[in-house]
Amino acid sequence: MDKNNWFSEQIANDKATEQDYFNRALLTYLDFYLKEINQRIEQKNHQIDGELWNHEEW
Amino acid sequence: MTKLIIISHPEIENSTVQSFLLEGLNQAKLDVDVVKLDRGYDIKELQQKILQANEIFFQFPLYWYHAPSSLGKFQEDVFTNKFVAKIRDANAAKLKKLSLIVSFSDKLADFQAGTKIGHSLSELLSPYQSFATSLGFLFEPTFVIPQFQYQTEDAQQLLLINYLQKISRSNQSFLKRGEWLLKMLETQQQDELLIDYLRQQLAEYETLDQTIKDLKDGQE
Repeated sequence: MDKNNWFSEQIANDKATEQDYFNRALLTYLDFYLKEINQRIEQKNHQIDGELWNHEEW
Repeated sequence: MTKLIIISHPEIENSTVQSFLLEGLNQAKLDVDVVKLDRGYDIKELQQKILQANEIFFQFPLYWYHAPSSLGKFQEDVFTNKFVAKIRDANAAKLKKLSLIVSFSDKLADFQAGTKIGHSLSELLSPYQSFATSLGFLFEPTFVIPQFQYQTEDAQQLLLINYLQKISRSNQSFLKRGEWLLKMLETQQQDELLIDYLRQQLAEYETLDQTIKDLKDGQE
C-alpha cells in the first residue's frame, strides 16, 4: 500500500472514533502535514540528485 | 515568553469565531493571557500586562472594514504619552511584537484593487502597523479568518491548528510546525504508530534539508 494511503487510512479510522474536537483537528492537520512532508521529501531527493531546482527555496 | 491576546468584540458570547478560538486555546493549554475589552478593564492593570508581554495580539472582527470601537477606545485609554515612553524603554531591552487576528465575512479575494472592496487588507489595517511602528514594536503578518461559517469542518479544523501555531510562534517554518504537531500529538496521547511515523518523516526531512544546505555551502 502506498504510504500516503496507509497513513490517511489510519488517520481516518482514528478520527471516526475520536470524540474530542481538538484531537480531531490535530488528526486533520496531521493528514495534511504528512502529505506535504512526503512531497517535500521526494522533491528534496530529486534536488540532491540534481534533477530538480527548488524554486520555492524550501 | 509572555503572550497577551486583546479581544475586541461587542458581543463575544454570541460570536462563533471567538468562542471557537478561545476553546481552542483552552484545549491546547497555551500559556496566554486573554483580555476581553468589552467586558471592561483596569487601565493600570492592562498597561502592566502590556509592559510584561513580549507578544501582543489584537483579535477582532472587521465591522465595515475597521475594528470594533472598543479597540480604538483601548488605544486612547491605555497608550498615554507617559505609558508610551515606558514602552519605548522596555523595547530597548526586548523588542515586542504585535500581530492582528482578524475575522470577516467577505471573501479574501475581494480585498484588492479592482474588486467591490477595492483595497487590500494590508491597506485597511495599516493604522495598526503605524501604531506598532511608532511604539517600536515589530509588526508581524496578520492571521486572517475569512468567512468562517462557510468553511467546511476540515477547513475549520486546519484553521484552528494554524491559529494555535501562530499564537505559539510555531508557524515560522515547516519544520517548526511539524515539531509543534508532534508535541501536541504526544501530549494528547494519540496513535503511537502515527506519532512514530511523523517523527521519522521529520528526521528524514531535517537530514535532507541539511544535506542540501551543505551542498550549497560547498558550491560557494
